[in-house]
Amino acid sequence: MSSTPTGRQLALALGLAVLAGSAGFLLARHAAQPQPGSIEGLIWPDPRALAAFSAIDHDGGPFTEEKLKGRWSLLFFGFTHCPDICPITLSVLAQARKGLGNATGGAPLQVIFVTVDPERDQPPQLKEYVRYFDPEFIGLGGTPEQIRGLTSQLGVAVMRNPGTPDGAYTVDHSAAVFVIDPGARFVGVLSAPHEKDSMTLRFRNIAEFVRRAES
Amino acid sequence: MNISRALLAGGVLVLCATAAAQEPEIAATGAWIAAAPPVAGVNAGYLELTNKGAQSATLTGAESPRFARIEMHRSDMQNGVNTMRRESALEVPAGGTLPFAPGGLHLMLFSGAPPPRTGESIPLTLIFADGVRIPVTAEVRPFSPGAGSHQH
Repeated sequence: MSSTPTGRQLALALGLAVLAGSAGFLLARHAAQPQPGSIEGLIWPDPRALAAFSAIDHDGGPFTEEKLKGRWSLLFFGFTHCPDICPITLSVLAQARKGLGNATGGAPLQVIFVTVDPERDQPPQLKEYVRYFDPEFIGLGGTPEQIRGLTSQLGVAVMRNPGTPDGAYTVDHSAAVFVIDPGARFVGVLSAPHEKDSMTLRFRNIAEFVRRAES
Repeated sequence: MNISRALLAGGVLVLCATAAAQEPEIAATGAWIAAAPPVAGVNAGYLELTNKGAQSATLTGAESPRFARIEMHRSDMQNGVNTMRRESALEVPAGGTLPFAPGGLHLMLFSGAPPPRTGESIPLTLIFADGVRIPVTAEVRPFSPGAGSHQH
């Protein structure tokens, strides 16, 4: 037997090298995509597509699940007579939105404030309220049934407290920000407390995971 | 300075000294009011109370010529749900502090008319159970830089 490699052996070695290279490439690619369980707030696999709902936007026009398609959405539930948590969260969302343009791969990002107090928060009130924080924000209202059509499928808790004799009341509500992907699927939850840097990071991780999983 | 004014000034000093010896020494610091959309009709006020005295003090309310009504509220989070409850009395422990901060205790300021404007200094009076009243000045500012810059 000759000690010099034959053409056949060379071909085999070359083939193995190509295989190893491919495996390494695939492994590297696999490793670069983090495990879903390691991404805080990600709902994966099988994110739920939102069922049909109908609400009223702050200009009085209809707003349905169709307006969630083709863009990323961050939904926050609250009420305009809330002095502490709601304005804090909307301030954070206004700051975070500016830094999230490149997390969506060019798809638009919309921030939506859904009132849990639709009787008091009529569209003009919502419009003035949300635009104070960011002129791009969208306020959603409607009838209590319309709001329930959205809160029930996202698991948003809403509890109105007994009022004072002058009619003032507060509404307890979920503090989380809900992440909806461009397929109108509920893909993530950003839980409170809200702070710009951590919110930005968590949204970016969720959006990048979903985009890569879909690509 | 004439004699009567000197006597008056001395008298005030003695009164202050007497008060300091008998009552909690409460300091209110860092008071500010979060700017909010005027349409909200409410603002939150924050500050920190420090009690340097040997006995606790009880805050029972606040008032201001700029607001129709002021209540004390506590925001809390239970199982991911934001709650807000009115408090009728809050203790400032002897040697301790009582912080009012975003996401926790706040003064709920109703119906500022005209609505508070960023940069405005607003007088508040804190009222304690023993009748002591402490005036503070709170500056109106946004929750975070860049937020609330779209006021009209």
